[in-house]
This record gives sequence, C-alpha cells and structure tokens, in this order.
Amino acid sequence: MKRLIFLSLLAALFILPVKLSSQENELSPFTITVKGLAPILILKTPQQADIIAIINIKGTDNAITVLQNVQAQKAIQQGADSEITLMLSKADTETLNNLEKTYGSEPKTFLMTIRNNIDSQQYNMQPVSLESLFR
Amino acid sequence: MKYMKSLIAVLVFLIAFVSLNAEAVNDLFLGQKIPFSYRAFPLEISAEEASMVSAGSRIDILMTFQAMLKRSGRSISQKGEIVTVTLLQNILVLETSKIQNKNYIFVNITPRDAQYLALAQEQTLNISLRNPKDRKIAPMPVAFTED
Repeated sequence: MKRLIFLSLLAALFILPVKLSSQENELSPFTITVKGLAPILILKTPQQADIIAIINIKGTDNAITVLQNVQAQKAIQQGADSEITLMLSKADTETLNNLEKTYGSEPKTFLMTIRNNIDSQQYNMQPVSLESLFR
Repeated sequence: MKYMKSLIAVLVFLIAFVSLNAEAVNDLFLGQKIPFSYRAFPLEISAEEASMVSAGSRIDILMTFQAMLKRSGRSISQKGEIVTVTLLQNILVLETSKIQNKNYIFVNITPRDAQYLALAQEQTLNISLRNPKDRKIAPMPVAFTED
C-alpha cells in the first residue's frame, strides 16, 4: 500500500506540470518572422521571450519592446530569418495586429530576446532611437 | 530490503526520464542562467570573433556607421563620415552557438540595452574581448577615420 502511494505521488510529480500547462488554453498560437537564425538554436524547447519591433517613426528607426514575457514555442527557418510561434493572449495578439495603427507605420523587423524562465517582471519600455543615444 | 525493488524501479524510471529529456534540459539552461531583469540577446559574429569568445567571456560591442558630423571650425560634411562607437561595455557572454556557418553569441544585457542593440543590428557590429577581471566602464570617445 505504501509502495502504491509512493509511486502515485511520484507519477503525480511528473504529470502535474503537464496538467498545469494545459490550463493555459486561453492562449493562441501566433507566428511572426524574426531576424536571424538564433531562434532555431534556442527554441528546441519553449522559452519565455520579449519581442522588439523596429518601426520607422517620422523618418527615424525606433526600437520598441512590443511584447514582454510571452512564450515562444518553436522556430522554423525562413531563408536567413526564423518564423517563430508565440503563444499569445487576445490582448497581445491585438497589440501586434495594431502596431501600424499605434506607431504610424508597419514594423520593419522583429527581434527576440530570451528572459529567465521564472522572471515575469514587466517594464514600462519606451521607444529608443540611435539618435537619442548620441544626443 | 523491503523497499529495494521499489527503489530500483524508481531509479530506473528517473534515469530513463533524465536521459530522454537530456537535450531539453540543455536547451532550458539558457533560460535558467539569465539573471533576473536581464535578457539574452543573440548577436551574429564573424568566425574570427567566435574563435576568441566562449561562455563566460566579457566583451565590448562596437558599432560602425555613417554619420553627418559637425566638428569645430568645419561645416557638416554632406557625404557622411565613417565613425565607430563603443556601444556597450563589459558584457557577459552567456552562450556561444553555431548554425549553418553562422556564429551566434548570446549576450547578457538589460531590456533597454537590448532595444539599442536591436537598432544597431542594422549597422556594422564588432566585438572586442576584455580581461574577465576588468569590469571598468570608461567613457569612450567616438572614433573617426581621420583620427
């Protein structure tokens, strides 16, 4: 009996994370193309990521962190770049779909950065340009 | 002795689980070794640069670009000049990797610096290796071709 309880607990230990991840059913897959092949190297398993968009605002390229702490699931090669699948909430999907409306022009490029798996902190990120760096 | 069979069964199960997921554990490692509030940013580098860095190296990142400059006693050049700036100093390399003859390093930077580095990707980027014990951040003047 004790052995059965012990084995059941052990099985539960491995099944629980699978159960928990299946509860994230409010997220939907969304694909974007990001610069370079690095995502293919790191997305062999899902990672928590931030997405930076390069958008031309009034003639100047700006980098804007448009999504924070989203799960990047997989990447496939698209020429010199990578198509990545993100698991996004409705709000995040709307944010990506409305970038042109928000900033006045379409994003030129997307880039992905990886964060610590358990770091869920969100920052108020302002757009930056290289000009602002040398001002 | 009573629980020996169970113990062996558990050990066999654990060994099988770990070996089946060994690759996954390795891949997760990058996401686990990034300090809180920092980001791992992938940077494509040349084969020569890749040969001198490894995980744990400390580097500076230099950006070369064309700029319209106004220097004392001279007007703004219409053509633009090639200038190099040290964009980031004392950056930790988290990991190095290679895919299809392209060399990548994953550098440990703040979310704000990640935005600047994202913009700098449009320009020419180079890295320089530092002494790992040298953590000094010095104000760096812009370098011109005429200097």
